Amino acid sequence: MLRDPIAVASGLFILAIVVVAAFAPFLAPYPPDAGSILTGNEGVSAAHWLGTDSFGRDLLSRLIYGARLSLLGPALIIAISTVVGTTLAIAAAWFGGWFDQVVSRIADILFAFPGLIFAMIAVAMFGTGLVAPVIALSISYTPYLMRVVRSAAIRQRALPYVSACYVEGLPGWRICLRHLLPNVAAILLVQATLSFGYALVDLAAVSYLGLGVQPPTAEWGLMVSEGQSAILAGHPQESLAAGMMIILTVVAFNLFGERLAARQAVED
Amino acid sequence: MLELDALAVDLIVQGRRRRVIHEVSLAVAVGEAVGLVGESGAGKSITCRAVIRLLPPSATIHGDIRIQGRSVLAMDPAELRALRLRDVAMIFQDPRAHINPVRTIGNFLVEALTERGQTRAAAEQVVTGLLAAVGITDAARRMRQYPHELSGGLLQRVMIAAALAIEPKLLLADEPTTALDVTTQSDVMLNLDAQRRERGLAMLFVTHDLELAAAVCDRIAVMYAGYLVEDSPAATLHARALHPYTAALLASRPSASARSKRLTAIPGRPLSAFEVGAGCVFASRCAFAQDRCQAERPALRQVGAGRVACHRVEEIHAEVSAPTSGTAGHD
Repeated sequence: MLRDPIAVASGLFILAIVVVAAFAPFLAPYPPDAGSILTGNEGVSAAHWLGTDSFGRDLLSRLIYGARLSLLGPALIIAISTVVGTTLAIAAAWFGGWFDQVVSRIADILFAFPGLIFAMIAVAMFGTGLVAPVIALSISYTPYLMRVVRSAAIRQRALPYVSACYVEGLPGWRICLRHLLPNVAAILLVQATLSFGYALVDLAAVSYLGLGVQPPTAEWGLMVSEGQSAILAGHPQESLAAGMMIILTVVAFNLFGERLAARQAVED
Repeated sequence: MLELDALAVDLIVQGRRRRVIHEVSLAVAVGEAVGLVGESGAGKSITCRAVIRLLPPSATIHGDIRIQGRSVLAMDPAELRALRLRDVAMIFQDPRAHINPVRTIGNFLVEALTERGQTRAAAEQVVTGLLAAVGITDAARRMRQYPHELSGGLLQRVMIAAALAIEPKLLLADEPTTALDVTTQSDVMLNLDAQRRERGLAMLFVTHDLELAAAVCDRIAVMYAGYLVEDSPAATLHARALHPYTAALLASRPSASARSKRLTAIPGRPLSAFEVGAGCVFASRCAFAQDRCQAERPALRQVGAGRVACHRVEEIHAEVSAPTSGTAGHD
Protein backbone atom coordinates (compact mmCIF):
# COMPACT_ATOMS: atom_id res chain seq x y z
CA MET A 1 0.00 0.00 0.00
CA LEU A 2 2.80 2.40 0.95
CA ARG A 3 4.59 1.64 -2.32
CA ASP A 4 1.55 2.54 -4.35
CA PRO A 5 1.89 6.24 -5.31
CA ILE A 6 -1.81 6.69 -6.11
CA ALA A 7 -2.86 5.21 -2.79
CA VAL A 8 -0.35 7.35 -0.93
CA ALA A 9 -1.32 10.54 -2.79
CA SER A 10 -5.07 10.05 -2.37
CA GLY A 11 -4.60 8.99 1.24
CA LEU A 12 -2.51 12.07 2.01
CA PHE A 13 -5.04 14.32 0.29
CA ILE A 14 -7.87 12.89 2.41
CA LEU A 15 -5.77 13.29 5.52
CA ALA A 16 -4.94 16.89 4.59
CA ILE A 17 -8.60 17.79 4.01
CA VAL A 18 -9.56 16.27 7.35
CA VAL A 19 -6.79 18.16 9.15
CA VAL A 20 -7.77 21.41 7.44
CA ALA A 21 -11.42 20.90 8.43
CA ALA A 22 -10.47 20.11 12.01
CA PHE A 23 -8.22 23.13 12.43
CA ALA A 24 -10.21 25.53 10.26
CA PRO A 25 -10.23 28.45 12.76
CA PHE A 26 -6.41 28.31 12.97
CA LEU A 27 -5.79 27.90 9.26
CA ALA A 28 -8.32 30.24 7.69
CA PRO A 29 -6.96 33.75 7.18
CA TYR A 30 -10.40 35.36 7.73
CA PRO A 31 -13.64 34.40 9.49
CA PRO A 32 -15.92 32.64 6.96
CA ASP A 33 -18.62 35.30 7.00
CA ALA A 34 -16.55 38.49 7.29
CA GLY A 35 -16.43 40.74 4.28
CA SER A 36 -17.74 43.87 2.66
CA ILE A 37 -19.86 44.03 -0.43
CA LEU A 38 -17.51 46.79 -1.57
CA THR A 39 -14.72 44.26 -2.00
CA GLY A 40 -16.97 41.71 -3.71
CA ASN A 41 -15.91 39.48 -6.61
CA GLU A 42 -12.25 40.35 -6.36
CA GLY A 43 -9.74 38.22 -8.18
CA VAL A 44 -6.71 36.48 -6.80
CA SER A 45 -4.54 38.77 -4.67
CA ALA A 46 -2.01 38.58 -1.86
CA ALA A 47 -4.75 39.42 0.65
CA HIS A 48 -7.23 36.96 -0.83
CA TRP A 49 -5.40 33.98 -2.33
CA LEU A 50 -8.47 32.71 -4.10
CA GLY A 51 -10.27 36.03 -4.37
CA THR A 52 -13.61 36.91 -2.78
CA ASP A 53 -17.24 36.04 -3.42
CA SER A 54 -19.98 38.49 -4.33
CA PHE A 55 -20.34 39.51 -0.69
CA GLY A 56 -16.63 40.18 -0.40
CA ARG A 57 -15.99 37.12 1.80
CA ASP A 58 -12.59 35.47 1.47
CA LEU A 59 -13.03 32.35 -0.67
CA LEU A 60 -10.11 30.41 0.79
CA SER A 61 -11.49 30.89 4.28
CA ARG A 62 -14.94 29.80 3.16
CA LEU A 63 -13.50 26.73 1.45
CA ILE A 64 -11.59 25.85 4.62
CA TYR A 65 -14.62 26.29 6.87
CA GLY A 66 -16.82 24.67 4.23
CA ALA A 67 -14.73 21.51 4.47
CA ARG A 68 -16.18 20.95 7.95
CA LEU A 69 -19.82 20.53 6.96
CA SER A 70 -18.96 19.08 3.57
CA LEU A 71 -17.08 16.23 5.31
CA LEU A 72 -19.23 15.94 8.42
CA GLY A 73 -22.39 15.27 6.41
CA PRO A 74 -21.01 12.29 4.42
CA ALA A 75 -19.18 11.06 7.53
CA LEU A 76 -22.47 10.91 9.42
CA ILE A 77 -24.19 9.24 6.49
CA ILE A 78 -21.49 6.59 6.20
CA ALA A 79 -21.27 6.05 9.96
CA ILE A 80 -25.02 5.53 10.30
CA SER A 81 -25.43 3.40 7.18
CA THR A 82 -22.35 1.32 8.05
CA VAL A 83 -23.52 0.53 11.57
CA VAL A 84 -27.11 -0.19 10.54
CA GLY A 85 -26.13 -1.96 7.32
CA THR A 86 -23.50 -4.17 8.96
CA THR A 87 -25.76 -5.11 11.85
CA LEU A 88 -28.59 -6.07 9.51
CA ALA A 89 -26.22 -7.82 7.11
CA ILE A 90 -24.59 -9.99 9.76
CA ALA A 91 -27.93 -10.76 11.36
CA ALA A 92 -29.34 -11.70 7.95
CA ALA A 93 -26.33 -13.88 7.18
CA TRP A 94 -26.48 -15.49 10.60
CA PHE A 95 -30.19 -16.21 10.90
CA GLY A 96 -30.88 -16.70 7.20
CA GLY A 97 -34.40 -17.91 6.41
CA TRP A 98 -37.30 -15.49 6.58
CA PHE A 99 -35.30 -12.80 8.38
CA ASP A 100 -32.76 -12.71 5.57
CA GLN A 101 -35.58 -12.70 3.01
CA VAL A 102 -37.38 -9.78 4.62
CA VAL A 103 -34.23 -7.70 5.10
CA SER A 104 -33.00 -8.38 1.57
CA ARG A 105 -36.36 -7.55 -0.03
CA ILE A 106 -36.58 -4.27 1.91
CA ALA A 107 -33.06 -3.48 0.68
CA ASP A 108 -34.17 -4.27 -2.89
CA ILE A 109 -37.08 -1.86 -2.53
CA LEU A 110 -34.77 0.86 -1.20
CA PHE A 111 -32.47 0.35 -4.18
CA ALA A 112 -35.32 1.45 -6.42
CA PHE A 113 -35.31 4.97 -4.93
CA PRO A 114 -32.39 7.28 -5.72
CA GLY A 115 -30.92 8.87 -2.61
CA LEU A 116 -31.70 12.37 -3.83
CA ILE A 117 -35.42 11.63 -4.05
CA PHE A 118 -35.33 10.39 -0.47
CA ALA A 119 -33.51 13.52 0.60
CA MET A 120 -36.06 15.73 -1.10
CA ILE A 121 -38.95 13.91 0.54
CA ALA A 122 -37.22 14.23 3.90
CA VAL A 123 -36.60 17.94 3.38
CA ALA A 124 -40.23 18.45 2.32
CA MET A 125 -41.34 16.77 5.54
CA PHE A 126 -38.80 17.98 8.08
CA GLY A 127 -37.46 21.16 6.54
CA THR A 128 -34.04 22.15 5.19
CA GLY A 129 -30.80 21.79 7.12
CA LEU A 130 -28.23 19.07 7.66
CA VAL A 131 -30.26 16.57 9.68
CA ALA A 132 -33.07 15.65 7.31
CA PRO A 133 -30.88 14.99 4.22
CA VAL A 134 -28.32 13.11 6.32
CA ILE A 135 -30.96 10.75 7.72
CA ALA A 136 -32.57 10.30 4.31
CA LEU A 137 -29.25 9.57 2.61
CA SER A 138 -28.22 7.27 5.48
CA ILE A 139 -31.31 5.17 4.76
CA SER A 140 -30.61 5.08 1.06
CA TYR A 141 -26.92 4.15 1.55
CA THR A 142 -27.66 1.37 4.04
CA PRO A 143 -28.62 -1.22 1.36
CA TYR A 144 -25.35 -0.65 -0.50
CA LEU A 145 -23.28 -1.48 2.55
CA MET A 146 -25.64 -4.21 3.63
CA ARG A 147 -25.58 -6.06 0.35
CA VAL A 148 -21.80 -6.27 0.22
CA VAL A 149 -21.34 -7.19 3.88
CA ARG A 150 -24.15 -9.73 3.78
CA SER A 151 -22.63 -11.72 0.94
CA ALA A 152 -19.20 -11.60 2.62
CA ALA A 153 -20.70 -12.69 5.93
CA ILE A 154 -22.59 -15.56 4.28
CA ARG A 155 -19.33 -16.75 2.75
CA GLN A 156 -17.56 -16.51 6.11
CA ARG A 157 -20.39 -18.22 7.91
CA ALA A 158 -20.00 -21.32 5.80
CA LEU A 159 -16.29 -21.63 6.65
CA PRO A 160 -15.23 -24.37 9.05
CA TYR A 161 -13.88 -22.04 11.71
CA VAL A 162 -17.43 -20.98 12.46
CA SER A 163 -18.42 -24.60 13.13
CA ALA A 164 -15.39 -24.82 15.37
CA CYS A 165 -16.74 -21.84 17.30
CA TYR A 166 -20.06 -23.64 17.68
CA VAL A 167 -18.30 -26.66 19.06
CA GLU A 168 -16.44 -24.48 21.52
CA GLY A 169 -19.87 -23.56 22.84
CA LEU A 170 -19.69 -19.85 22.01
CA PRO A 171 -23.01 -18.04 21.80
CA GLY A 172 -24.11 -16.80 18.39
CA TRP A 173 -23.78 -13.08 19.07
CA ARG A 174 -20.23 -13.61 20.18
CA ILE A 175 -19.31 -15.54 17.06
CA CYS A 176 -20.84 -12.73 14.98
CA LEU A 177 -19.09 -9.95 16.83
CA ARG A 178 -15.70 -11.48 17.46
CA HIS A 179 -15.29 -13.76 14.47
CA LEU A 180 -17.52 -12.78 11.56
CA LEU A 181 -17.13 -9.02 11.93
CA PRO A 182 -13.30 -8.94 11.89
CA ASN A 183 -13.36 -11.15 8.82
CA VAL A 184 -15.65 -8.81 6.89
CA ALA A 185 -14.00 -5.63 8.21
CA ALA A 186 -11.70 -5.23 5.21
CA ILE A 187 -14.50 -5.40 2.66
CA LEU A 188 -16.57 -3.13 4.88
CA LEU A 189 -13.81 -0.53 4.90
CA VAL A 190 -13.56 -0.57 1.11
CA GLN A 191 -17.28 -0.19 0.64
CA ALA A 192 -17.50 2.59 3.24
CA THR A 193 -14.63 4.51 1.60
CA LEU A 194 -16.15 4.27 -1.86
CA SER A 195 -19.59 5.20 -0.56
CA PHE A 196 -18.14 8.23 1.21
CA GLY A 197 -17.34 9.84 -2.14
CA TYR A 198 -20.83 9.24 -3.48
CA ALA A 199 -22.44 10.49 -0.27
CA LEU A 200 -20.37 13.67 -0.51
CA VAL A 201 -21.61 14.31 -4.06
CA ASP A 202 -25.21 13.57 -3.11
CA LEU A 203 -25.12 15.86 -0.11
CA ALA A 204 -23.43 18.62 -2.14
CA ALA A 205 -26.21 18.24 -4.70
CA VAL A 206 -28.81 18.61 -1.97
CA SER A 207 -27.09 21.80 -0.80
CA TYR A 208 -26.73 23.04 -4.36
CA LEU A 209 -30.48 22.69 -4.82
CA GLY A 210 -30.94 24.80 -1.70
CA LEU A 211 -32.40 21.93 0.31
CA GLY A 212 -29.52 21.43 2.70
CA VAL A 213 -27.74 23.86 4.97
CA GLN A 214 -28.76 27.45 4.31
CA PRO A 215 -26.72 30.62 3.63
CA PRO A 216 -24.64 32.17 5.02
CA THR A 217 -23.21 28.81 6.15
CA ALA A 218 -20.03 27.87 4.31
CA GLU A 219 -20.50 24.55 2.51
CA TRP A 220 -19.08 23.49 -0.84
CA GLY A 221 -22.33 22.49 -2.57
CA LEU A 222 -23.96 25.68 -1.43
CA MET A 223 -20.94 27.72 -2.59
CA VAL A 224 -21.23 26.26 -6.10
CA SER A 225 -24.81 27.46 -6.25
CA GLU A 226 -24.10 30.86 -4.66
CA GLY A 227 -21.28 31.54 -7.09
CA GLN A 228 -23.48 30.69 -10.03
CA SER A 229 -24.84 34.16 -10.69
CA ALA A 230 -21.36 35.68 -10.70
CA ILE A 231 -20.14 33.33 -13.45
CA LEU A 232 -21.92 35.28 -16.19
CA ALA A 233 -20.52 38.50 -14.79
CA GLY A 234 -17.06 37.06 -15.35
CA HIS A 235 -16.29 35.94 -11.77
CA PRO A 236 -16.32 32.14 -11.82
CA GLN A 237 -13.90 31.76 -8.91
CA GLU A 238 -16.42 30.80 -6.19
CA SER A 239 -18.24 28.03 -8.10
CA LEU A 240 -14.99 26.90 -9.61
CA ALA A 241 -13.10 26.67 -6.32
CA ALA A 242 -15.92 24.92 -4.46
CA GLY A 243 -16.63 22.56 -7.38
CA MET A 244 -12.94 21.74 -7.61
CA MET A 245 -12.80 20.80 -3.94
CA ILE A 246 -15.81 18.51 -4.33
CA ILE A 247 -14.25 16.83 -7.36
CA LEU A 248 -10.81 16.44 -5.79
CA THR A 249 -12.20 15.04 -2.56
CA VAL A 250 -14.51 12.58 -4.28
CA VAL A 251 -11.78 11.44 -6.64
CA ALA A 252 -9.40 11.00 -3.71
CA PHE A 253 -11.93 8.86 -1.83
CA ASN A 254 -12.71 6.77 -4.90
CA LEU A 255 -9.06 6.20 -5.77
CA PHE A 256 -8.23 5.31 -2.20
CA GLY A 257 -11.21 2.97 -1.99
CA GLU A 258 -10.27 1.28 -5.24
CA ARG A 259 -6.69 0.79 -4.08
CA LEU A 260 -7.97 -0.75 -0.86
CA ALA A 261 -10.20 -3.04 -2.89
CA ALA A 262 -7.35 -4.02 -5.21
CA ARG A 263 -5.09 -4.80 -2.30
CA GLN A 264 -7.79 -6.91 -0.72
CA ALA A 265 -8.40 -8.78 -3.96
CA VAL A 266 -4.71 -9.68 -3.99
CA GLU A 267 -4.92 -10.95 -0.44
CA ASP A 268 -7.96 -13.07 -1.19
CA MET B 1 -20.04 -41.76 28.55
CA LEU B 2 -21.29 -41.67 24.97
CA GLU B 3 -24.00 -43.92 23.63
CA LEU B 4 -25.29 -43.99 20.09
CA ASP B 5 -28.56 -45.84 19.96
CA ALA B 6 -29.71 -46.86 16.48
CA LEU B 7 -28.43 -43.56 15.11
CA ALA B 8 -29.63 -42.77 11.62
CA VAL B 9 -29.00 -39.56 9.72
CA ASP B 10 -30.77 -38.23 6.65
CA LEU B 11 -29.10 -35.56 4.56
CA ILE B 12 -30.19 -33.71 1.46
CA VAL B 13 -27.83 -35.01 -1.20
CA GLN B 14 -28.23 -33.69 -4.75
CA GLY B 15 -31.65 -32.34 -3.93
CA ARG B 16 -32.96 -35.57 -2.46
CA ARG B 17 -33.31 -36.63 1.12
CA ARG B 18 -31.14 -39.66 1.60
CA ARG B 19 -30.18 -41.78 4.54
CA VAL B 20 -26.42 -41.68 4.97
CA ILE B 21 -26.11 -43.32 8.39
CA HIS B 22 -28.04 -46.48 9.22
CA GLU B 23 -28.79 -47.79 12.67
CA VAL B 24 -25.39 -47.18 14.19
CA SER B 25 -25.29 -48.36 17.79
CA LEU B 26 -22.05 -47.74 19.57
CA ALA B 27 -20.90 -46.92 23.07
CA VAL B 28 -17.79 -45.21 24.38
CA ALA B 29 -17.14 -45.84 28.07
CA VAL B 30 -15.56 -43.30 30.43
CA GLY B 31 -11.86 -43.05 29.62
CA GLU B 32 -12.16 -45.37 26.64
CA ALA B 33 -10.87 -44.60 23.15
CA VAL B 34 -12.91 -45.93 20.28
CA GLY B 35 -11.65 -45.70 16.72
CA LEU B 36 -14.25 -45.12 14.04
CA VAL B 37 -12.70 -46.41 10.84
CA GLY B 38 -13.84 -46.52 7.26
CA GLU B 39 -13.21 -45.29 3.74
CA SER B 40 -14.21 -41.82 2.55
CA GLY B 41 -17.96 -41.51 2.46
CA ALA B 42 -18.57 -44.34 4.91
CA GLY B 43 -20.28 -41.92 7.27
CA LYS B 44 -17.71 -41.82 10.03
CA SER B 45 -17.35 -38.03 10.06
CA ILE B 46 -21.09 -37.52 9.90
CA THR B 47 -21.50 -39.89 12.84
CA CYS B 48 -18.87 -37.97 14.77
CA ARG B 49 -20.44 -34.61 13.96
CA ALA B 50 -23.92 -35.86 14.81
CA VAL B 51 -22.70 -36.52 18.35
CA ILE B 52 -22.38 -32.81 18.94
CA ARG B 53 -25.18 -31.87 16.53
CA LEU B 54 -22.86 -30.24 14.06
CA LEU B 55 -24.83 -31.17 10.98
CA PRO B 56 -26.44 -28.95 8.36
CA PRO B 57 -29.85 -27.65 9.46
CA SER B 58 -31.50 -29.74 6.77
CA ALA B 59 -30.21 -32.98 8.32
CA THR B 60 -32.58 -35.12 10.33
CA ILE B 61 -31.33 -37.41 13.04
CA HIS B 62 -33.16 -40.55 14.15
CA GLY B 63 -32.43 -42.80 17.08
CA ASP B 64 -30.74 -41.35 20.10
CA ILE B 65 -27.39 -39.92 21.18
CA ARG B 66 -26.67 -39.83 24.88
CA ILE B 67 -23.74 -38.20 26.60
CA GLN B 68 -23.48 -39.02 30.30
CA GLY B 69 -26.98 -40.43 30.06
CA ARG B 70 -28.53 -37.23 28.69
CA SER B 71 -30.02 -37.18 25.25
CA VAL B 72 -28.18 -34.70 23.04
CA LEU B 73 -31.08 -34.59 20.62
CA ALA B 74 -33.49 -33.40 23.30
CA MET B 75 -31.28 -30.53 24.44
CA ASP B 76 -32.35 -26.94 23.89
CA PRO B 77 -29.78 -24.51 22.44
CA ALA B 78 -28.58 -23.33 25.87
CA GLU B 79 -28.04 -26.88 27.15
CA LEU B 80 -26.30 -27.80 23.93
CA ARG B 81 -23.99 -24.82 24.26
CA ALA B 82 -23.21 -25.74 27.87
CA LEU B 83 -22.41 -29.29 26.75
CA ARG B 84 -20.07 -28.01 24.05
CA LEU B 85 -18.51 -25.53 26.44
CA ARG B 86 -17.82 -28.01 29.24
CA ASP B 87 -18.10 -31.68 28.39
CA VAL B 88 -17.21 -32.29 24.78
CA ALA B 89 -14.39 -30.95 22.66
CA MET B 90 -13.68 -31.59 19.02
CA ILE B 91 -10.46 -31.68 17.06
CA PHE B 92 -10.92 -31.12 13.35
CA GLN B 93 -9.07 -32.47 10.38
CA ASP B 94 -7.87 -29.19 8.92
CA PRO B 95 -6.71 -26.83 11.67
CA ARG B 96 -6.03 -24.01 9.23
CA ALA B 97 -9.65 -23.90 8.15
CA HIS B 98 -11.01 -24.30 11.65
CA ILE B 99 -9.16 -21.46 13.33
CA ASN B 100 -10.25 -17.91 12.59
CA PRO B 101 -7.47 -16.51 10.38
CA VAL B 102 -7.71 -12.91 11.57
CA ARG B 103 -7.36 -13.52 15.30
CA THR B 104 -4.25 -14.49 17.21
CA ILE B 105 -3.54 -17.97 18.52
CA GLY B 106 -3.79 -16.59 22.06
CA ASN B 107 -7.25 -15.20 21.38
CA PHE B 108 -8.35 -18.51 19.92
CA LEU B 109 -7.07 -20.47 22.89
CA VAL B 110 -8.46 -18.38 25.72
CA GLU B 111 -11.83 -17.72 24.16
CA ALA B 112 -13.66 -20.76 25.51
CA LEU B 113 -12.13 -20.24 28.96
CA THR B 114 -13.09 -16.58 29.24
CA GLU B 115 -16.53 -17.56 27.98
CA ARG B 116 -16.74 -19.81 31.05
CA GLY B 117 -16.03 -16.87 33.30
CA GLN B 118 -12.28 -17.11 33.82
CA THR B 119 -10.23 -13.94 33.72
CA ARG B 120 -8.03 -13.39 30.72
CA ALA B 121 -4.86 -13.65 32.81
CA ALA B 122 -5.91 -16.92 34.44
CA ALA B 123 -6.94 -18.33 31.08
CA GLU B 124 -3.61 -17.38 29.54
CA GLN B 125 -1.78 -19.16 32.31
CA VAL B 126 -3.80 -22.34 31.79
CA VAL B 127 -3.25 -22.14 28.06
CA THR B 128 0.50 -21.59 28.36
CA GLY B 129 0.70 -24.77 30.42
CA LEU B 130 -1.31 -26.67 27.84
CA LEU B 131 0.83 -25.45 24.97
CA ALA B 132 3.86 -26.80 26.81
CA ALA B 133 2.01 -30.08 27.31
CA VAL B 134 1.35 -30.45 23.59
CA GLY B 135 4.99 -29.69 22.83
CA ILE B 136 4.97 -25.96 22.07
CA THR B 137 7.67 -24.41 24.20
CA ASP B 138 7.72 -20.75 23.15
CA ALA B 139 4.10 -20.28 24.15
CA ALA B 140 4.29 -16.53 24.75
CA ARG B 141 5.51 -15.88 21.23
CA ARG B 142 3.11 -18.32 19.61
CA MET B 143 0.14 -16.77 21.34
CA ARG B 144 0.88 -13.44 19.72
CA GLN B 145 1.12 -14.99 16.28
CA TYR B 146 -1.59 -15.47 13.68
CA PRO B 147 -2.58 -18.88 12.30
CA HIS B 148 -0.82 -18.28 8.97
CA GLU B 149 2.50 -17.92 10.80
CA LEU B 150 2.33 -21.48 12.16
CA SER B 151 2.91 -24.77 10.37
CA GLY B 152 0.12 -27.30 10.04
CA GLY B 153 1.57 -29.51 12.74
CA LEU B 154 1.92 -26.65 15.20
CA LEU B 155 -1.57 -25.47 14.41
CA GLN B 156 -2.99 -28.91 15.07
CA ARG B 157 -1.21 -28.93 18.43
CA VAL B 158 -2.79 -25.57 19.12
CA MET B 159 -6.18 -27.05 18.34
CA ILE B 160 -5.52 -30.00 20.62
CA ALA B 161 -4.52 -27.57 23.36
CA ALA B 162 -7.75 -25.65 22.78
CA ALA B 163 -9.72 -28.88 23.04
CA LEU B 164 -7.97 -29.87 26.28
CA ALA B 165 -8.38 -26.37 27.71
CA ILE B 166 -12.05 -26.81 28.52
CA GLU B 167 -11.22 -30.01 30.44
CA PRO B 168 -13.75 -32.06 28.52
CA LYS B 169 -14.79 -35.58 29.37
CA LEU B 170 -15.21 -36.63 25.78
CA LEU B 171 -12.92 -35.82 22.91
CA LEU B 172 -14.15 -36.06 19.34
CA ALA B 173 -11.22 -36.28 16.96
CA ASP B 174 -12.20 -36.10 13.30
CA GLU B 175 -9.14 -37.26 11.37
CA PRO B 176 -6.87 -35.04 13.46
CA THR B 177 -3.68 -36.00 11.69
CA THR B 178 -4.81 -36.70 8.13
CA ALA B 179 -3.83 -33.26 6.86
CA LEU B 180 -0.32 -33.46 8.32
CA ASP B 181 2.79 -35.00 6.85
CA VAL B 182 3.76 -38.41 8.10
CA THR B 183 6.46 -37.54 10.63
CA THR B 184 4.42 -34.70 12.11
CA GLN B 185 1.46 -37.04 12.09
CA SER B 186 3.04 -39.56 14.44
CA ASP B 187 4.37 -36.80 16.71
CA VAL B 188 0.99 -35.18 17.05
CA MET B 189 -0.76 -38.51 17.47
CA LEU B 190 1.62 -39.72 20.18
CA ASN B 191 1.12 -36.47 22.00
CA LEU B 192 -2.66 -36.57 21.68
CA ASP B 193 -2.66 -40.15 22.91
CA ALA B 194 -0.46 -39.30 25.91
CA GLN B 195 -2.58 -36.32 26.87
CA ARG B 196 -5.74 -38.34 26.57
CA ARG B 197 -4.49 -41.15 28.77
CA GLU B 198 -3.09 -38.77 31.34
CA ARG B 199 -6.42 -37.01 31.65
CA GLY B 200 -8.54 -40.14 31.38
CA LEU B 201 -10.63 -38.73 28.55
CA ALA B 202 -12.99 -40.74 26.48
CA MET B 203 -12.31 -40.35 22.78
CA LEU B 204 -14.11 -41.05 19.56
CA PHE B 205 -11.31 -41.14 17.02
CA VAL B 206 -12.37 -40.92 13.41
CA THR B 207 -9.79 -42.02 10.87
CA HIS B 208 -9.36 -43.99 7.68
CA ASP B 209 -6.12 -45.41 9.03
CA LEU B 210 -6.94 -48.73 10.66
CA GLU B 211 -3.40 -49.29 11.95
CA LEU B 212 -3.27 -45.85 13.54
CA ALA B 213 -6.64 -46.41 15.18
CA ALA B 214 -5.55 -49.80 16.47
CA ALA B 215 -2.43 -48.25 17.95
CA VAL B 216 -4.18 -45.61 20.04
CA CYS B 217 -7.66 -47.00 20.64
CA ASP B 218 -9.15 -49.62 22.94
CA ARG B 219 -11.83 -50.63 20.48
CA ILE B 220 -12.28 -50.23 16.77
CA ALA B 221 -15.62 -49.67 15.09
CA VAL B 222 -15.58 -50.16 11.33
CA MET B 223 -18.10 -48.41 9.14
CA TYR B 224 -18.98 -49.19 5.57
CA ALA B 225 -21.54 -47.35 3.44
CA GLY B 226 -23.24 -45.83 6.46
CA TYR B 227 -23.46 -49.09 8.39
CA LEU B 228 -21.47 -50.25 11.37
CA VAL B 229 -20.05 -53.59 10.23
CA GLU B 230 -17.70 -54.44 13.05
CA ASP B 231 -16.90 -53.38 16.60
CA SER B 232 -13.92 -55.26 18.08
CA PRO B 233 -11.22 -54.81 20.70
CA ALA B 234 -8.21 -53.20 19.07
CA ALA B 235 -5.88 -55.83 20.55
CA THR B 236 -7.47 -58.73 18.68
CA LEU B 237 -8.21 -56.88 15.48
CA HIS B 238 -4.91 -57.60 13.78
CA ALA B 239 -4.94 -61.26 14.58
CA ARG B 240 -8.60 -61.82 14.11
CA ALA B 241 -10.55 -59.25 12.16
CA LEU B 242 -14.13 -60.45 12.16
CA HIS B 243 -15.64 -58.80 9.12
CA PRO B 244 -14.25 -59.57 5.64
CA TYR B 245 -14.15 -55.82 5.01
CA THR B 246 -11.93 -55.20 8.02
CA ALA B 247 -9.67 -58.02 6.95
CA ALA B 248 -9.49 -56.56 3.46
CA LEU B 249 -8.68 -53.13 4.86
CA LEU B 250 -5.82 -54.60 6.85
CA ALA B 251 -4.53 -56.44 3.80
CA SER B 252 -4.66 -53.45 1.50
CA ARG B 253 -2.34 -51.34 3.59
CA PRO B 254 1.06 -50.89 1.99
CA SER B 255 3.89 -52.25 4.09
CA ALA B 256 7.52 -51.29 3.89
CA SER B 257 8.66 -54.78 4.87
CA ALA B 258 6.83 -56.48 2.03
CA ARG B 259 7.97 -54.36 -0.87
CA SER B 260 8.15 -57.08 -3.43
CA LYS B 261 4.49 -57.88 -3.16
CA ARG B 262 2.00 -56.05 -5.30
CA LEU B 263 -0.34 -53.88 -3.31
CA THR B 264 -3.61 -55.58 -2.72
CA ALA B 265 -6.74 -53.59 -3.28
CA ILE B 266 -10.35 -54.27 -2.47
CA PRO B 267 -12.07 -54.85 -5.81
CA GLY B 268 -14.81 -52.42 -6.74
CA ARG B 269 -15.39 -49.01 -5.27
CA PRO B 270 -16.84 -48.00 -1.90
CA LEU B 271 -20.58 -47.57 -2.07
CA SER B 272 -22.52 -44.62 -0.81
CA ALA B 273 -24.98 -45.41 1.93
CA PHE B 274 -27.94 -44.89 -0.37
CA GLU B 275 -26.62 -47.17 -3.11
CA VAL B 276 -26.72 -50.43 -1.19
CA GLY B 277 -29.28 -53.05 -2.06
CA ALA B 278 -31.24 -55.35 0.21
CA GLY B 279 -28.38 -57.59 1.24
CA CYS B 280 -25.13 -57.14 3.11
CA VAL B 281 -23.63 -53.73 2.33
CA PHE B 282 -20.27 -55.26 1.49
CA ALA B 283 -21.67 -58.13 -0.60
CA SER B 284 -20.78 -56.56 -3.94
CA ARG B 285 -17.06 -56.50 -3.07
CA CYS B 286 -16.78 -59.40 -0.67
CA ALA B 287 -14.79 -62.47 -1.65
CA PHE B 288 -16.96 -64.66 0.52
CA ALA B 289 -20.38 -63.41 -0.54
CA GLN B 290 -23.08 -66.00 -1.15
CA ASP B 291 -26.70 -65.77 -2.25
CA ARG B 292 -27.83 -65.16 1.29
CA CYS B 293 -25.46 -62.17 1.58
CA GLN B 294 -27.04 -60.59 -1.49
CA ALA B 295 -30.58 -61.09 -0.26
CA GLU B 296 -30.59 -60.59 3.47
CA ARG B 297 -28.92 -57.86 5.46
CA PRO B 298 -26.95 -59.26 8.38
CA ALA B 299 -27.62 -57.73 11.78
CA LEU B 300 -24.81 -56.71 14.11
CA ARG B 301 -24.31 -59.62 16.51
CA GLN B 302 -21.94 -60.59 19.25
CA VAL B 303 -19.09 -62.84 18.13
CA GLY B 304 -16.41 -63.50 20.71
CA ALA B 305 -15.25 -60.23 22.18
CA GLY B 306 -16.62 -58.11 19.35
CA ARG B 307 -19.70 -57.47 17.31
CA VAL B 308 -19.96 -58.03 13.59
CA ALA B 309 -22.55 -57.75 10.85
CA CYS B 310 -21.75 -60.79 8.72
CA HIS B 311 -23.75 -63.97 8.07
CA ARG B 312 -20.75 -66.09 7.41
CA VAL B 313 -18.19 -64.94 9.91
CA GLU B 314 -17.90 -68.34 11.66
CA GLU B 315 -17.67 -70.22 8.36
CA ILE B 316 -15.07 -67.85 6.97
CA HIS B 317 -12.91 -68.14 10.03
CA ALA B 318 -13.17 -71.93 9.87
CA GLU B 319 -12.41 -71.89 6.14
CA VAL B 320 -9.31 -69.79 6.49
CA SER B 321 -7.25 -71.51 9.09
CA ALA B 322 -4.60 -68.85 9.16
CA PRO B 323 -5.41 -65.46 10.70
CA THR B 324 -7.78 -63.64 8.40
CA SER B 325 -5.37 -60.89 7.58
CA GLY B 326 -5.08 -60.72 3.83
CA THR B 327 -7.73 -63.22 2.88
CA ALA B 328 -9.90 -60.96 0.82
CA GLY B 329 -7.03 -59.60 -1.12
CA HIS B 330 -5.79 -62.84 -2.66
CA ASP B 331 -8.39 -63.33 -5.34
